[in-house]
Amino acid sequence: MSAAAAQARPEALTEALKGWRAWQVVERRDGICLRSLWVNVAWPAGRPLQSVCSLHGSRLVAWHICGIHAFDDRDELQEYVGRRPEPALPRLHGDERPLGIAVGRVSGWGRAICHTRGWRSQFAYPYALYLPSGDRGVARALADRYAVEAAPFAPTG
Amino acid sequence: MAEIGRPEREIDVRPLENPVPNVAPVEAPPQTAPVPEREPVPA
Repeated sequence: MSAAAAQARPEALTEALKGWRAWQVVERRDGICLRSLWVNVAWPAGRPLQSVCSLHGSRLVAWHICGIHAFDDRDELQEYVGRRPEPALPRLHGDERPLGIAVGRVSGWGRAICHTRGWRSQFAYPYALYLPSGDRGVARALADRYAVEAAPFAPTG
Repeated sequence: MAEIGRPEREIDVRPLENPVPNVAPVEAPPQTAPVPEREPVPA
């Protein structure tokens, strides 16, 4: 991003960004929920996830990695998830049981940085979820918890 | 995450429609008070 672009007034949008990302699905005492793959955070239900950076707080900075990330393209997401080895997933808390991966669409808003293959935003919430494992029970639990569409199959087309 | 590429521009997204679905617990509908029977009108 050029210095001029960094200093220019940010473009204003009135519709949430939509992107693709993946989550860990875990079972906890309070039910089945989503966790980020790369950082140790559980996604709340009924309210947005807010990005908080240890250096910059909730305000995103262009030349950092802070924010909630998403790909523009589903195929790039799936390629990225496929490349990531299982042991690289964040360690779960002791009372959490891993139930696999969810992929899907996510809404992003607030201050955001557009990248060449995606974006990262200050706030985010799941928009639609897919369970490559095909587990209908988990899909139903996620749909109930987050009040979004959750299908027990991977998206096609 | 370098996977999403290089930063291009900063944007300010303020959606008109709330992206968070309403997942508040559904309360039981209020009990409808029984309608008292009308007393017969004397002829």
